[in-house]
Amino acid sequence: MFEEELSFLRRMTKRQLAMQILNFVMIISSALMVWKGLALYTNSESPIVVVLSGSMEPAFYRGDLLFLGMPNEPVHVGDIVVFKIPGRDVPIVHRVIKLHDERETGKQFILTKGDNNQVDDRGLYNPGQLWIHKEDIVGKVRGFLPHVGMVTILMNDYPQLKWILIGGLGLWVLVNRE
Amino acid sequence: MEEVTKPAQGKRERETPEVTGSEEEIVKTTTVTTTTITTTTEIKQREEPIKVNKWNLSELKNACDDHVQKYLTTKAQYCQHHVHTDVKLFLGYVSCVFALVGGSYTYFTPFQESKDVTLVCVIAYLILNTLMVAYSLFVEKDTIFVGCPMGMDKNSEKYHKLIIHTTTKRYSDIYNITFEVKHKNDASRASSSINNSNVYTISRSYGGWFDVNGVLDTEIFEKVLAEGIRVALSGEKPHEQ
Repeated sequence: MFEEELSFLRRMTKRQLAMQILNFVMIISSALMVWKGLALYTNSESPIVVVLSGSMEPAFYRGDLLFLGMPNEPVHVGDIVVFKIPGRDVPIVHRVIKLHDERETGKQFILTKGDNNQVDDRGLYNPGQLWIHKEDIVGKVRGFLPHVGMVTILMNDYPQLKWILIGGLGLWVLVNRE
Repeated sequence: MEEVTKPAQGKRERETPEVTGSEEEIVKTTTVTTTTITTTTEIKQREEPIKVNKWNLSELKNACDDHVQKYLTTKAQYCQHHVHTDVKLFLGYVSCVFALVGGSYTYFTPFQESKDVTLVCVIAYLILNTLMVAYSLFVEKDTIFVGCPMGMDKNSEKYHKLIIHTTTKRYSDIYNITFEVKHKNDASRASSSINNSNVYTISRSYGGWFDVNGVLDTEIFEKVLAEGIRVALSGEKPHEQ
C-alpha cells in the first residue's frame, strides 16, 4: 500500500529528504508558535479550553470551546473564570460569587461556584483551603463556541485516534512535494 | 559529488543483484568517461523508470526538474552548487530551534515568568520564516539548478556557471526551460560590470517525452537538455523554438 511512497522516499537525495522533514517540522512549529503567540496576546496560559463537565449548565455544556483572556484589572463578582487548584492539573471553569480584598496589599480572596452545582467550590479546594487567589486563575471567559470542543474530548478519550491522525498527516506531508 | 555516484550504484545493486562480470565493466566505464549516446541506453535498462501521474501538472514538472538535476550532475558532468537549498534549510531549521526553545521553556517555567523568552522566540520564528519565504520568492525564484563544470580549471576560458530556470504556466502543458550560461571575465574589476551571460529558452510540451502511461523517456529528454546547453554555451541565437 505504501510502496509507491516508500520508493519515492528512497529516490530522494539527502537535501531533498532534509527539505521534506523540514516541511513536516515547520507545520508543527508553526502551530506551536501560533498557540504561544495567542497565549501572549491574551495574557493567559491556556487561551483556549474545552468544557469537560456539566457544572456550568445552562451557560456552558460539555464539549464547548472557551476563549480566555486575563486583563490586568482585578476580578469581579459574576465573572466566569477558569482556575487551577494548586497541586492539581485539571482547570475548572466556574463563576466568582464572593470576593474579599485585603486593604493594604490588594490581594483578592475569591470564592467560586458552578452554576449547576448545589454547593460552592469549597468542597473542591484543597483540605483547609477556603479561598483561591488571582494567581490561581488562568483566565476570564471572554467568548465561546458551542460543541466544537467535542473533537478534543474524543481525542483524549481515544488516544489511538490522535496518533492515527498525526501519523497520517506526517506521512502525507513527507511524501507530498508541494 | 559523493552523493551523486553513491545512490546510483547502490540502486543498481539492489535492483539487479545478479550482475555478471561483463555488465559490471560497462557500468564502470560509463561512470569514468564522459557521456556518449550509446552508453546512456545501457544505463537506462538498469534504472527504475520514472513514472508519474500524467494528469498532474506539478508531478510532471517535479519529475522533469529532478531529472534535469540528475542528468546534469551525472552525465553532463556538472558540479551542483546547493547555495539556495542550503540557505533555506538553514533558515528553516534555525527557526524550528527557536520554536522548540519557545515551546519547551513554558513547560518548565510558570507562565508569568516565561513570557519574555516566549515573546522573543515567537518574534524570532516569525522573522526567520518571513526571511525564508522572501528568499525563495525574490532570490531563488524559479531556479532549479546552479552549477559549474566538474574538474575544469577555474581560470580557463571555458569555465562558466550554468543556471537553469524552469516554469510552467497554470493550465498549460508547455515546459519552459531556460539555460543561462555565465562566463567569467578577466580578473580585472572594471570589466566585471558586463554581465556576459547567454540565455536560451526551450519551450516544449510535456508530451514530447512522457508516454501515454506517464513514463519519462529519459533519452529524448536528455537530448533536449544537451541541445539547450550546447546552444547556450556557444552563444548562438537560433530561430524561434
